[in-house]
Amino acid sequence: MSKADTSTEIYDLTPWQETWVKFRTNRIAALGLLVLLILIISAIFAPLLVTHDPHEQFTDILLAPPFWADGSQSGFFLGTDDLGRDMFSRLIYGARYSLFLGFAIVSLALFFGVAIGAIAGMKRGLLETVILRLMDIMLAIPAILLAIVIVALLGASLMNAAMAVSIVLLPHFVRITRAAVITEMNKDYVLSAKLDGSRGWKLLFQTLLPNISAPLIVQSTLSFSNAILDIAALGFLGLGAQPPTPEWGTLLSSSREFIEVAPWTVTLPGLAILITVLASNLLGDGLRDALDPRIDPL
Amino acid sequence: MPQHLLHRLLLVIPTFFGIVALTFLLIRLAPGDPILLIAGEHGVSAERYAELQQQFGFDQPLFIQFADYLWQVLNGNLGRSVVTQTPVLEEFSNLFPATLELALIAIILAVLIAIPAGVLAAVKRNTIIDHSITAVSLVGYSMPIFWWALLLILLFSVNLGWMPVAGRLNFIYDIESVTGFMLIDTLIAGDKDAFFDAVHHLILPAIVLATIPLAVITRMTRSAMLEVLKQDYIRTARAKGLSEFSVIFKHALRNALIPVITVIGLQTSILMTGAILTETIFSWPGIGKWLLEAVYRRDYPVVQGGVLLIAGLVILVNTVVDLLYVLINPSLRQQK
Repeated sequence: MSKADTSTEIYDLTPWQETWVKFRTNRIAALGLLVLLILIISAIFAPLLVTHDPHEQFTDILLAPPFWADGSQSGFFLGTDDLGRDMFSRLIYGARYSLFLGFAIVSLALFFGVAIGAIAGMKRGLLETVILRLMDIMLAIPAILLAIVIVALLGASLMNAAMAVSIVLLPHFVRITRAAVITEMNKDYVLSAKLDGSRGWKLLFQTLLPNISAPLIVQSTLSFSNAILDIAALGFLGLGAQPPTPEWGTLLSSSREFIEVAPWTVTLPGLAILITVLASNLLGDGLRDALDPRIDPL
Repeated sequence: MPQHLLHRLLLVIPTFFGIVALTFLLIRLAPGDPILLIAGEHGVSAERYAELQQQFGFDQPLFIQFADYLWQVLNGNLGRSVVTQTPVLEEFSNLFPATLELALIAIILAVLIAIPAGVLAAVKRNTIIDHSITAVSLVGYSMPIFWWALLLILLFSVNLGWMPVAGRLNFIYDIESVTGFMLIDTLIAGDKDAFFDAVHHLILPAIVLATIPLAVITRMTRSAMLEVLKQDYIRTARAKGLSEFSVIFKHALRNALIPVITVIGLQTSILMTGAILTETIFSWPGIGKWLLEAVYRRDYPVVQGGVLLIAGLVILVNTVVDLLYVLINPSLRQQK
């Protein structure tokens, strides 16, 4: 598609269509979306895709190398781990944890972040100051450290780790929502909605939210990659998912001692994390460029 | 300007106060009775329990306990480690130089590579050079650094045998700790071999810790440069016939660096997060590893004090960066 085509047709489009046109032309971002979709589909249909049960131990084929190396076993094309479990099946099941938790964590942070941020932006005054100070405090503690402390208090488990990461991501959503709400509150369409009797949550969800969704969508995508990284890091530190759960970070840490004899047990889970995070960062960057009206369309 | 600065400085007070409150609540929220926790498996008699409760002030109302804690913190008393019985502040100051040395080397490494790379990408916009730099920095930005560390160990330590896997210095060297910075201490001791050994130990952890800041600063430098290069004064500079070198480094970069410096300052938090993972993997005896071990051992005074100190450090650096930002940015200087 030539550049002239899109920039002329762009004037007749709704904002969402315009965003889609801008996004579509960004091939790198589209690649990110595609990779994420493939990962999501494989996570959903994991039981149909895998060749073995992720927990089944083939005790006579321990640490079998992947298909490209000498001594690989047929049927285990990404090799096996120290207990003879199929790496491919464990990685595919691992995608379920990372992706599902990523969504859950971001949704939670988004929901509470928007609610708290909107209260701060709409009510202003003392409440706003208190909320902002609280968020400053949370931001002053390095993310992983805050998550580690929360996990240390609640106990090490996947759910607690997810909750901790969600809390860590919250301040960004609060700040973005508050700033956006304050900007929008001064605009005429909000005044008109108010005159129409719209107040409180109704005003927020019906009038404000559609107009402040762009920065929130971008933040959600970028938070999604952070969530996956943090969950994996906590798993790696032994504070997230516990073995034998095939979560990627946990897979990495339990294979760490075999790095010399069976490097694939370490490289493959890490690669899975990198690809997922990279894909969602590509998508996030692309969305930011497409949704930001200040950036020249094409 | 003074008003703005004053306002910014005053904001530090409630934030710090809040962190003290948070770390105070931390120990109260912890599961299990702190006294039973300290007592360990043997348990304590009822009388001793009451005695200890009084000693720690647990029999007082919560707000009195908090006031007491606040007073202690303001006097620099952060309690003692349950495990080693050493004051938390002492442990922290013994280990902090190791983390600071690693973090400083990492951030210097990151800045030295990131700024030229970002400038190059912006100047060569949409060429293969730009695309490569952008792609590499995006990968770096998405990197799970604990995995990256293991990959580097696998390649440089296990396969090639070039780099040591753990620690700050080979145990054959006995270096007196003067500054706590191994690179400086070995030089003071005049032991050249030990100095190079210390450098050797630093390389891999520094690369790992530098990765994310490197990627972030490169991206920021690139976009700040692109923004500046569009400006009229750059066109004027070019029209005056200045050399391209002078236009880019004297005129453009100087203004592009303003947001970049802010971003460099904001890396403190990322470096501290990175330090926890990096130090754990490389057995680097710094505060990151210390804090994580305290979490594993449920050594709550250490966790409490450590979080307070690190958060205080982050607030301090961020405030300094904010003030610097006002000082170096002429457009902000005029504002009230």
